[in-house]
Amino acid sequence: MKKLKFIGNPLLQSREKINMSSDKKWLTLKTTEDNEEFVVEESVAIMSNVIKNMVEDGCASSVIPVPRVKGNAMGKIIEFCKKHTEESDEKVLKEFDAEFLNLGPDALYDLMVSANFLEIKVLLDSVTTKVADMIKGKSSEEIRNILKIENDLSAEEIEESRRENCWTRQE
Amino acid sequence: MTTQNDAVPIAFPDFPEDVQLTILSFLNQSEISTFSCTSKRFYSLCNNDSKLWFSLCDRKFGSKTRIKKWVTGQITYKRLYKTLCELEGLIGFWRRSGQSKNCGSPGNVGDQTPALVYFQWGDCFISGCRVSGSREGGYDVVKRPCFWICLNSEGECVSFLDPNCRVEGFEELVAKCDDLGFVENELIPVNVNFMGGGHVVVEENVNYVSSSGSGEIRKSGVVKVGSPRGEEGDEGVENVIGSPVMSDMYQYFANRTSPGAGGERWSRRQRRREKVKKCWKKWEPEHYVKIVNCSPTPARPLQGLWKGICDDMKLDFYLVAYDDIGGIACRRVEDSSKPFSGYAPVFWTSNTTFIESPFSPEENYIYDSRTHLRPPDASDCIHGDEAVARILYINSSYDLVIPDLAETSVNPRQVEGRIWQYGNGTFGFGFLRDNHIVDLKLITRNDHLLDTS
Repeated sequence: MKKLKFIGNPLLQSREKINMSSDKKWLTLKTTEDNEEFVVEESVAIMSNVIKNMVEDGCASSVIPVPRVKGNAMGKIIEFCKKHTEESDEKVLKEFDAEFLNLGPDALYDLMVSANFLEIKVLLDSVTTKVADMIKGKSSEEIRNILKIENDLSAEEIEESRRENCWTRQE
Repeated sequence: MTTQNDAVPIAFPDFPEDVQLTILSFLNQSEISTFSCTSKRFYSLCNNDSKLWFSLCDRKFGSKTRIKKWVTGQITYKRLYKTLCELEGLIGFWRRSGQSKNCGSPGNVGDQTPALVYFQWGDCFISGCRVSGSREGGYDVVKRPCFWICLNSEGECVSFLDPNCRVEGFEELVAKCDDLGFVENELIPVNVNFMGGGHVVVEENVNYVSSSGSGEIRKSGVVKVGSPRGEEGDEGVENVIGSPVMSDMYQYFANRTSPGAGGERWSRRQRRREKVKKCWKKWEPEHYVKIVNCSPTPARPLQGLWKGICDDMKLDFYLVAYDDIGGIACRRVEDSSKPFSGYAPVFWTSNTTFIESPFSPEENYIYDSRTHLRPPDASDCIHGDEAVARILYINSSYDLVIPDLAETSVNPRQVEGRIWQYGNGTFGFGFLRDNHIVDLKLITRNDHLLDTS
């Protein structure tokens, strides 16, 4: 049983009505992993470079299959893209992003990987900036804890790495 | 700035590598250094020059310059990142500190280093432009490159001063460096040394040797050989140890400038080189100070770099700065052989409270009875009928400190003047001792030079 999600005007009841809307073009994105479908405006969908290329090359049919992205992530992505298409005030967008990215690590990971795959630069930059901010100014040990990195360097190797990079500390 | 203070752990090692590189591209050098100590895998990632360090260069400088074009020979992106971070400090407006010690021929200020320089990014270089009024007069501003800073194949900075702004483009510069046919006083190899605190010193680089040629021909018509220790060695293309060389740059552009480098041309150069004497005219070091606060702010509406026509009908540049003691100082930044040239004081005022309209009849009279100084071509009018929005008193001028006028008694009328701020944010100033108004217009926007003609 397919689940149909309408992202857009909540007053529209059926797909036929959407297709008859003359000014805007609509696309259906279907996540092939869990068979969820999303109907979005083309102007929102082409924030993804991958989808944009498909549309421009004319190989986008009525339903675009999207592998590797789960339905939950897709929903979030569309919410993000929609906001960034509608809003131009930088301050408002910044606040939106901060609130939007208040997610658990698994959701953040899914979002990041999906944004990378779909080539949505704005979203990818937002998420990666957030992760980068988590480790700025932290020590190596703290970074290991935050990023779940296993320490496989010996004490000598750490010392050597510090020495080698010591010119970078002169700031 | 994340709102979560205690970051929930996230499995970074599981991320795809290009996502990892994107995250790391937001860090600075020392943060990368710390990160490289986390594990073997990330140590090697952080030392991956073409991926990580290229990303860092691209993140920080990609929108300003063409990163890949800077890299020739064996320059690593890591080295490039460090160099570009240093060179970034040059971008913006600088004024020469003091009068130029390198005076040109009488009446020709062209040989001097410029009083006002604007450094900007190029594709694979930084150019410093002399900012001046155009020869046609009027309010047009022209910028012509006179400093060129780029990298040789070893990643060292190589800089040139072209005081007469003869070289117009970077490729022309590279071609000239290889060509023995230098016009006299054209390109001078220099070192641009950062002294900290927004201060650089430009000094002649006497150790500069080009192995493809022998530098430039100086005034005496004699070819200068830069380094006393320059051992030319074999004929041809080799580098002199420790000296920046142009041959690598030449080779980099060899496809475009001169196919068939080597051979006949090289031996001609070698023969000519052997004939020369070592003789040069010393170029005195010049000091430059960075102009911060080039644009007005709501709290400091008169601040910045402005242009205006003064009573000599030439376009001059004015730097208005707010000082720590609540005053506003205006100085003229100019190329001139007059005394105090370079950074001549114009007026200073300690009273920064504006008088709002409506104005008293006396004030209106003071304004209305004056002529706005305009360039000879009167159609080039920047103010039209701009109404005066606010007035500021000038309660001090610098005439008092000029020795010639020391005879003059301190007449309060001599030192008073007005600043008239117009509705569009520009302003004009004048003194009660005369009946002119010098109207000023900005030459910057967001600390960048406005488009020049």
